[in-house]
Amino acid sequence: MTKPVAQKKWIKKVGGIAAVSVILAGCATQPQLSDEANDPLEGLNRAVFGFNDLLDTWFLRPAATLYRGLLPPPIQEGIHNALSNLSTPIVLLNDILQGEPDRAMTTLSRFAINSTVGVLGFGDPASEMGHKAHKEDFGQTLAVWGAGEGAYLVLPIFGPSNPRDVVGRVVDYFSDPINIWAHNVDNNGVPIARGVLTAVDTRAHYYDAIEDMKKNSLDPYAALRSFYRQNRTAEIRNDTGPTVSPSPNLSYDFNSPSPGDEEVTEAR
Amino acid sequence: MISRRKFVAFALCATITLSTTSAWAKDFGKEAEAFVQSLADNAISSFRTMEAGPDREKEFRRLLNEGFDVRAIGKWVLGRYWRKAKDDEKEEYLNLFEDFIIVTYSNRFKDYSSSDITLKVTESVAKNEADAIVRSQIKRPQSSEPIMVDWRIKANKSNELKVVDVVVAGVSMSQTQRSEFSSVIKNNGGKVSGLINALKTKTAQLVSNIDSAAN
Repeated sequence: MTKPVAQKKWIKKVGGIAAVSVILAGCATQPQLSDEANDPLEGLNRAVFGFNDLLDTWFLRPAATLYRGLLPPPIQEGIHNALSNLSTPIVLLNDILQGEPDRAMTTLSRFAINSTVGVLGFGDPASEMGHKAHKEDFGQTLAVWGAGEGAYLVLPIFGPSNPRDVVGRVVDYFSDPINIWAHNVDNNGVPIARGVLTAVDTRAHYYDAIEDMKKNSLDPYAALRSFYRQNRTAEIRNDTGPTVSPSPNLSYDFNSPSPGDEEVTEAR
Repeated sequence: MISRRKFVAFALCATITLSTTSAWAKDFGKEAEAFVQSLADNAISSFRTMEAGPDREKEFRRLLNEGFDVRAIGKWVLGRYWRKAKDDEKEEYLNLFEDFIIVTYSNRFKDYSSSDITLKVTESVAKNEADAIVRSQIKRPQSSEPIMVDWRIKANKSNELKVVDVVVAGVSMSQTQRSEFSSVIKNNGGKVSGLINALKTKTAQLVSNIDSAAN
């Protein structure tokens, strides 16, 4: 009986060390959100952004509109859940790589519960049992390990990114069990179908927010750039969504400048 | 080397300072929570009870002006260009910014509040007795997944609570606007007048969209 306890202690210890190093790494790489984004390729990026915008107007937006019109909201949510469930192996792998045993356990429980009780991930009973969803990917892991974001990039079709997240995307693709399986049996159809469905689902899921940005923005390119960088920063420090958010996490936000900070406006 | 006595004294001071500020701050956090809840309840109820039209638009304008420190946001969003702007540009910009923010936020509110939404304040953290973040959950009937929205609340000089930033999924609206405005100015040869013109055009366009939607 002593062995499991000792093991638990060991896990806790490693977890603690990992957590501390994660926090330290987080401090070291906490990107300073400034008005001047690191965007040396802005001309090219804007051209690709324009291309993506056309793709959206011609294909993705109509597809998402149709999707929202044809499928009742519960079905849409079911598909969204199922797609998230398919990506849990990637989340788990990156939870582990980031030294987050608690979050890894949550991910594992989610996969076990939602794949079975949740009927192949369409339902999300795990959330109701207290295992809330979170996102991880290899780009975030690289950030936790100390890699900076680098120059802002807009990829054709895939949209906002940076060198770190490009590497992350490629690694995620090749470490995904379904993609590995598809590669082994020479089946390209499955990853492509999954990619298209994910694109339509994402566009439909964030439909209002995207339309909002397109409509209300003076410079949609700059708005999306800022949005992407801030959102990634929040994801990296694991503070997104109404998920695990104990109060101490909140205080982190005080570090970012905000209106009313007279010194920020006046001192420059 | 710090002497032991000095160290103890220092630690004591630090503890006392920290504990007193956190006690103050806790009160401010609670105050800010109540402020956000009542602001949201007022806005939601006015949208439920009043019909779409100029009256509701006016009521919303009033709530926004009362609840948000529009001028502080406008100043901060201009960033380092605030100092470069001429006095008449500053005044014109702030007036335009107020119109712009009110039209965008009322648009947003309309888009998101078509059905029964509820906002519930869940927690808060205060930095001191004039600065707090209030976390809330917005629930919409069409989705079981609530949206997490953080409100940055500050007390202004006359000690009134004001919203200075809205943060959704880690993305600050003020920060986004600030980088956007900075980009517009940069692409207009570093002139604030370029931003002023862009704001004029955009606000006029958004207002005409609202009018055409209302008719």
